[in-house]
Formats: sequence, structure tokens, C-alpha cells
Amino acid sequence: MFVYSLDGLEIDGDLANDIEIEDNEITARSGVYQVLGQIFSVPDGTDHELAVEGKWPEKLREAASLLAFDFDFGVAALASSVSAEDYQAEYLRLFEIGDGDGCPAPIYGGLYTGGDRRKQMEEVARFFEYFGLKTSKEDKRPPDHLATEFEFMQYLAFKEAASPSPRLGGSFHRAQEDFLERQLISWLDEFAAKLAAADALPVYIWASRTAAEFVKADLQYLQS
Amino acid sequence: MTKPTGDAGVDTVEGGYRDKWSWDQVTFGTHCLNCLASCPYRVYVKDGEVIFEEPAALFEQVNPNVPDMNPMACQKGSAWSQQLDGPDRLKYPMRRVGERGEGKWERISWDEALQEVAESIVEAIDMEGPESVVFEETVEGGLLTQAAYLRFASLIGAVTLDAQGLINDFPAGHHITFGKFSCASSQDDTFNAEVILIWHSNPAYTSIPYAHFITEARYNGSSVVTIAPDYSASAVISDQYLPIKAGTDAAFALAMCQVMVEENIFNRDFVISQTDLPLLVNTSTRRFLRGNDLDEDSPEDQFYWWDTDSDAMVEAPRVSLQVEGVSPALEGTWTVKILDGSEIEVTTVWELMKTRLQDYTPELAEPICGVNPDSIRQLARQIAEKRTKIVEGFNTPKYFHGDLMERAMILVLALSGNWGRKGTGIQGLALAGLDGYQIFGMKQERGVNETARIMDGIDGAMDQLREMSPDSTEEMLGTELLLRGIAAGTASPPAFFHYYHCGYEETWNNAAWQDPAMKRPFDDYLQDAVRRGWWGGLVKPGPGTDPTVFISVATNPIRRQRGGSAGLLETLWPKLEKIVVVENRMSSTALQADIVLPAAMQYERKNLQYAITHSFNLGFSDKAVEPQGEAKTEWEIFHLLSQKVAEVAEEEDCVEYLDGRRQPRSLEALGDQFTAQGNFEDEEVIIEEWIADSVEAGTLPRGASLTTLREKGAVRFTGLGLFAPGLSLATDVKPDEPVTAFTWHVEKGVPFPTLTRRAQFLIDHPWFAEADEDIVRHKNPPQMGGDYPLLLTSGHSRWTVHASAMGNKVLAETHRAEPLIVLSLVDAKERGIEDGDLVGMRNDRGSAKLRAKVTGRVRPGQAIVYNGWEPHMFENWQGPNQVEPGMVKWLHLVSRYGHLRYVPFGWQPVPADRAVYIEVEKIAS
Repeated sequence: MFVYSLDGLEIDGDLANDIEIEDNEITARSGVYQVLGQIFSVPDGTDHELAVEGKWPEKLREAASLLAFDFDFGVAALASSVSAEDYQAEYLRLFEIGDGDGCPAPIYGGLYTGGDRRKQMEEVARFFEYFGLKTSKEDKRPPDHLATEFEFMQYLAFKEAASPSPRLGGSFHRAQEDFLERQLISWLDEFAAKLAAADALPVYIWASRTAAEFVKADLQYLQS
Repeated sequence: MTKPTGDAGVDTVEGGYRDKWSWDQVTFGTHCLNCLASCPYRVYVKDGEVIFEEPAALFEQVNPNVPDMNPMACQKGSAWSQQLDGPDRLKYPMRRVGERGEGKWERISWDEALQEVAESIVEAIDMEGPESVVFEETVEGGLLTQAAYLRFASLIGAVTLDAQGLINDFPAGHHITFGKFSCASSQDDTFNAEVILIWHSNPAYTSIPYAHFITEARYNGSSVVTIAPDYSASAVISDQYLPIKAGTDAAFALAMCQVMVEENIFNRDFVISQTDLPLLVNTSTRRFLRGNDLDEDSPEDQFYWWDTDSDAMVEAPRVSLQVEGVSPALEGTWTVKILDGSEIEVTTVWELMKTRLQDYTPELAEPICGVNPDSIRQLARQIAEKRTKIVEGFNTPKYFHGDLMERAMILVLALSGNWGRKGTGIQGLALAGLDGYQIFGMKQERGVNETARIMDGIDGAMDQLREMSPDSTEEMLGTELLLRGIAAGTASPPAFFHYYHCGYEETWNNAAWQDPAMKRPFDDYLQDAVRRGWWGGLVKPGPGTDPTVFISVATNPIRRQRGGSAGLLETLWPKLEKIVVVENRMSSTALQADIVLPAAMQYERKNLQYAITHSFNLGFSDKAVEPQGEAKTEWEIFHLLSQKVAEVAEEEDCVEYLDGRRQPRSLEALGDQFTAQGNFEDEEVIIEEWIADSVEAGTLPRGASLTTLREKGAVRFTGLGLFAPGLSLATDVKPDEPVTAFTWHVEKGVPFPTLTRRAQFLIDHPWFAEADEDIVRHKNPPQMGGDYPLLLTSGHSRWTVHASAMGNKVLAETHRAEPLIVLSLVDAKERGIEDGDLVGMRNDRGSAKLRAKVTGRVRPGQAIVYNGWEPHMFENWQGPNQVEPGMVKWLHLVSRYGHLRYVPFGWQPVPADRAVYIEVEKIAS
């Protein structure tokens, strides 16, 4: 049984948040996005443990067991010498704060695609709202945060799988295509390249490349 | 005033010039005007003020062999910003303190204004019922303007007077023939025509953004012919000009048809498959042979052909226009046995038509229409051979017998096979469906779940209809669905309102101004139509309910009212407790109101333009600057008003009431209902929702959003929509082709939404037969206005879209800027009138004073007053409308005959305002 969970996003309105449905190829995709969202969230102790034990690729493979297309998630682990504290500090250095010389690889899509980021965030937020979500008041991540965008994909795929009508299912399917095309695919390659150039922890380089490749493979699947 | 400085901080002339043309911000804007062009502009803002706008010219070429739409602009749009703070701009709420129309006002707060309006509405609901609150519909101002007042009216159960019955842009002849009137291709399809007939239109004045396609087609080898009484500005860009007597177009068209038939150069296959002309008719009754004439179990709308292969009568298919395995006859008479066992003689509609055409040989038509028979023959032969498009405007609907002209013009196209393929058809108005806007009225929540719920509901309703009528087309089902929604709606064809409440009874019953073929007084026909229930549920407020509150939003009835403002001011106004005008400028109607509420203009608010197919793009206007003074958008105004009405209703203990259908309503939560519990408070959210839902419905491209519009200025439609107006075009939308209407009918054989499921040239309704209009014919315009020598015509001006730019000082410097009547040299000389003289025009209806413009381009016997002058620009407010009786053609009261039934913005009685008889005299200075 697949259950989705959201951190950066909240259900807007009275839609059930705890629907359980049988695993299938669509929930598999939702599961992969769920794990990708976790990988790119601010890491806590549990995340550190998973990273050190090399469990992230494993979790992705588990989630992807019913995936309708082949995808190699590779292997990656965090060196055991990197403490949980350092792991989180590295996350903040790479993605959010920088090291005094700018942020090496900002984790916000609106900073990559050119144009006015505020307007892009508005557009993403409206996209969320149209599909029944709003950004979490507790988490307060901006809507163009990578983890939030993966959560949104997780939600859309789940809603497609759980849709009571073919029309609504079609809407959620098309939304995934559009969101991948207009948002994630438009900036993940550059994000991965920046991480590679920034002397980042190998686990993040792996994660960004995997994510960039996965969204492309997933779009191809969605469009097939 | 800022002192100009150069780049280096040194004062220079160059620096000053550069500074003048520098800006802080650029947004896209369009004007949401009734011209419906929605030309995209870039709007330049500096220090919070719009400093200028320029055409954006952003449309991509659709097809490499067809010119693009650019630049899409005219001088009215290019001078729009001048009106933001023009002298007639409304900036603050105001209340009348003198008599109505006296011109004495006091500025009041929004709260005071809304309180007063709300009290009037609540009192009206309490005393007379909600249908005593009457809204004048508009097509001005864009979708957010329309959505606001329609939502408010719908929530309280008020009446909205159908805009089409007010503005009469409705080509009844299109509806009579095709079962729909919205059938124009996108404007770039004009380039594909080999022959372009500029007929009843003047695109050089009124369609400036698109007129280039005509010139480009001409360069490409097309032949352009202008058919008009006057040598118009469009005649100048034509290869041939055919001067025609005003109002005689049906005779001219029928003469061309006669030539095509006589010379056997008509398209026989097209006529047989697309039209009712091969259908069988009882020769003695001139009524179609129907299924239930032959078999009591057969439907009344089953019609028949005579198959020449089997020499027998066969059923004409209901589900397709394709002609397969049968050779329907056009000519002949036969005998058939009917249900009662008797034998009757039948013939074809074609035979009736051929008989009619004998009255219109070119030689017989010449004395009527004034066109040389050789010219008629030459053009008929040209049309029969070539892809021909009629570029028609909205002029024919303004003629009493405009429907006859339109039916005859369409017959020309039918005989020559000229619709449903590139470069053909008739180019009037075409509405596309912006589904998001249509769905909006049903939405209670934001988001795709609600959209899917509604669309699933629509699908379910369509399935039910399909089950009941399995041989109906999607277009027919869509119309049926629309009509079912109307039963619970607010719309009312305004002819009844005008008749019962605005003093038209005497005028329309003046037999001398009506068609001589009328056998009974107008009132007999009207009462007959009402008694038979033809307009059941639509006559509101009925004769027993006095209108008490009249609300006009972004429209100007005192200027526009066919029949002049006297009917409104002298008959309607005294009945009204409150007249409320929501406007951005001090129009003539605002001047006659009790409360004036200032509205934001385009550039001061976000808006979408109506979805039309002329450019086939959705136009967007962004907010570039804050509204002037205290002006608000209509959405804000009606949201605030709905809150205020709820408050007042509670104070007055008048919360619960029954609406016109005796259904319970409540005003308790009106404010929340207006925004759907706060879901639709933010106008940006509403627009975003319309766009997203339209994407869901397939009308806009995937990925389109408000951001897309902000980036690109416009977005091309990808479909016609789910609803009837869009589906009327009956064609597939291709990304790399201009949109050509009616390809479904011609290429796929999809039936028309008419009684006979074919383009219908016989209307076998007894009223039409009595009027000798069952088959199209020519009739002279009735003697409207009395026995006077000059025929007054009109048309849209080059310098304003209706009255919207009348206060624009920049534009005023480009024309004479005072009311003019255009007279021929001959008529002017006979009356001792010289160019610029003040003249009086008069007839038995009324009079007006204005300046003469004397020209050789107008034919003797014709006078033109272009549309748009405000009544307050004339002495005693007596403008050209005062000489128009605004007559309604009684045949348009027919309903419940196949496709002749009320459709919003469609079939209904509309008033005529052109071809009025007048005299003109010089006024001694």
C-alpha cells in the first residue's frame, strides 16, 4: 500500500490526506519523487544515517520496483567521516546560504530559469493551488524549492493513481508532464552541473545527476 | 517637472529627449473594446503614469504562405492612454443632487454610494421582486467586467437584458439559414480567398487591424470587389466598386443567383449535400414533406429527397450530409401518397427557389438595386468559379430586412460552393469559447477537482441528451445544454422590456413604418407569440412588474438606444427608483443617472478580452498603473455591493425571498457567495483559474498560464471549446493553418443545427409564408420615419469605437470632432447646403441638428451619420437616434420552430436603426 506524505506542501481544503491505494506503476513514480524530495530536504539525523549506510539508492530502487521503465539509480553513500552536523552544514552551504562567495548551487528553481523569480514562484504556487495544494505554513519552504517541487510531483502522481474519474486522472497526468517540462527539467541539469563544479559531497552530486536523469526519463514515459 | 539631464549628469537637450522616452516598466495591454480585436500593445510606464503605448506586433506567423496578423492596432488603441485622465474620466463615486440629467452632482464616499444602491436593490426585491432589478448587458470592458455584474445579477435573481437585442449585431439571416450566426473564419483566412466581396462593411474604417489581409490578398492576385451605396474608404482598396442602392442587396444577390442557375454554373453537388434545396415540398402548402405526413411513427423532422436512380422518394439522412447511394433530384414534380391515403403533388425547394429567381433576372434587378446587368453577370460568373469570401460586418442586422439580405448573400455562397474550404464563407462575427470563463459560473471552489466535477457533470448531461436524441451532433447537443441552463438564468430578450416598459408600443404598432406585408398589427403578433409560450420564462420583468432599479455597467443605452433616448428618459426613467451607472467616463447615460460608480480602465486593472476567432488569440491586458482617483474594478465594486446588500437585507429584515421562478433565495451570505467563500476574491486568481480551466478543456495550449500571457502578450487558441458559441465554427483547429469555418459540414458531412439539418432556404413557418418570406426575396426598407426623400444610413466611424473615444483629445484633433451628416453633392446643392453648414434633419419620429459634410462619395438620396456621437453633443440632446423608430421585425418573434428559438446572444427580435427616411434643411446661422 502506498501512502504519500507531504512536508513542504499542505492539502488545501478538505481532500483526504490519508488515502491508501494498491501499489502500481504510477504509485511507483510517486514513491520515487517522495524519496527524491526527502534527499533534498534539510537533512536530520535519520537522513544522515541513511546517507552513510548508502540507503538512498536502495530506497529509490524499492520505491521504483513497479516502475514501468528501466532506470539505474546507481550507488552512493556518504563518507562515515562526515558527521550529521557537517552533513547539514554542507547542505546549507551548497543550497541555501553559501560560503560568503555566493551560494554554489541554489536549490530554488526560480533562480535558474531566468526572468522574475517572484513571478515564477507565484506561478508555481498557483499551479499547486489549482491542483489542490498550498505551501506549508510550518515548513515555509518557497514553492520553487527542489524538495517542494518533488513533493508536488509525488502528489500529482498519487492523485493520478487515486483518481476517481478518467478525466481527473488525465488532468493530473497532464499536469505532471507540464510541471516537468516547465519547471524541473528546465533547471536540474544546470543545478547538477553547478554541484559538480562546487566540490560538493559526492552523495549530492550523485543525487542531483540521478534526479536530473530521472525527470527526463519520467517525462518520456509520461508522453509515451 | 523634472529637469532633464544627460547621461553624464549634464543638462542637455538630448538628455531631455532621452528622458522623455525612458520608462520604468513595460506591460502588455489591450483595450477590451467592443471592436473585439484585442490588439496587443506594450504599455510603457514611468513614475506610475502610462507615458505611451505601442503595438506589440507579437503574433507568430501561423503558416509560411499566409501573412501574419501583425501589427494588430489602430489609432484608437494607440491613443488609449490619453483617456486615462481625460476630461470626462470618472474618478469618484457621485450622487445626483439636482434633477436627473440636470448635471448637478456631489462627490460621496464608496460606502455611502454602495449603501444607497444596496438599499434600492433590497427595497426593489422586497416590494416588486428581484426581476424589478434590471441590468443592461454589455459586450464592452472585457471578461472581468462582464463576469462581475452577471454573477451579482444571477445571485440575486435579477434580469439581464440580452446584449444582442440591444446592440443588434445579430445577423438573423445567418441564423435562419445555418441555425447559428457565429460562423466567421479567422481573419487571416481572407488571404486565401480568390474573390473578396466587401459587402455591407467598411473594413478600412472598422476593421483596421485586419484590413491588411485584403490588400495582401490583392497583391497575391485576389480580386476585391466593394458593394456599397457610397464610395467608401474600403472601395479605394478594391479592384471593383459596385454602387448599389441602399437596402437593395437582396435583389442584387438574388440576381447573381439567377445568373448562376440560368447559366448552369452553380455547384450542383454542393447544393445537394449542404442545403435543403433538394428536399421535397408539398406544392399546394409550400410546406416540407415531413415524416409524420407519411407515417404517424415517423418524426416530424424527417425530410425527403426524390432519388432519380430509383425514381422514388427516399428519406434524407439525419445524421450526415454525405450523399451516398442516391441521386437526389433538384428539379421535378411527383405524386406521393400521404398518411390519410390521399395523394399530393410534391416538388423541391429548389423549384420554389427557381421560380422566385425569375423575379430577379439582372434586367429586373437593375431598377431595384441600380447595378448594371453586365456587372451582375460578370461578378456571378467570377464567384461561381473562384473561392469567394464575403467580408461582412454588422451592418445588415441593423436593417429591417437585413435577414433577407443575409439569406440572399448566403444563397450566393451556397450556389457557388463557397463555404467550408479555405478562403470562403461569410465573415461576420465569430465567438470562440473560453471554457474557463464558461465553467467559472459553476465553480464553488478553486482547482482541478472542481473543474473535473463540473466537466464530468457536463459530460453526463450531454450523455443524457445524446441518449434522448442519438442522431444529434455535438453542436446541437451543446446548444440544447445551453438552452436548458437558460431556464434558470437571468437573460431576457430586451424587445419585450422595451415594448412593455419603455414606450415602444405606439411606435412598433405604427403600420406605416412596418412592412406592408404584415396582415395584423404588431401587437397581435407579439401577444400571439407570448400566448403560445414561444418566449416562456424570458419575458421579464413582465408587464405586471415595474422595473425599479436599472443598472448599466460599461454600456451607454442613452446614446445607443434604437429609437432614441426619449423612450428611456420619458417612459422608463420615471418608473425607476434608482439608476446606477458603473462607468469609467461621464457618458450620456452616466449624466442621466442617480448614482455613478467610477470603474478602472484597461491599463489600470487585469483583464481578458472576449474569446473571438478573428485573431484566434486570447488577449490579455495587465495592470500597469493604479486606477485614477478612487476608481475600482467591476469585480471589486460588485463584491463590495454584494456585501452591502447582505448587510442592508439583514437590517431591513428582508433576507429571504422568492425569485421570479418562485424559488427561495437568501441574501444572507451574498458577499461570500459572490467570491465563493473567498475563493475568487483576487482577480489575478480568477484569471489564472480561467486560463487553467481552459487548458484543461483543450481550448488553450498545455502549459499556458497568466505568466505565459505576461511573457507573450497573447496566446493562440488550440480548440473551439466545449460550448455552443465556439462549436458553431464547426472546424478543426490546426496549429499551422488559419481557421476556416464549416469544414466539418463540408468535409465530414456533419449536419447543420437547423430544422432540416441542412443550410435552410425554406422556412415553412406560417408567419414567414404569410409575409412571402418563406423563400428569400427582396423587400424595400419599410417607410420608417415617414415619407421623406433621403435614406439615412450609418456605419462605424473611423475615429471611435462607438462613443468610447469621443472624449479623446488627441483623436479629436484628427477629425472634425463634431456631429456630422454626410450628404451628396447633388442633395446638398438642391437644398442650398454647403460643407460645414449647420443643418437640421427630421422626420415624423424626431429631429436633430448637426453639421453637413458634403462629398461626392455619397450617392444622391443617401445620407450617412456615423455611429458614436453622444447625445449631449447635440442641442437638447437630440441626436441621430431621435429619427430612428427602432422598429422590430415581427417575424423575429417566431420561436419554437426548429432552430428558430431563443439562444443567448442569438435568435431574438432585434431593432432596426438604419434605412430611415429623413429630410435635411439648412439652418440659418
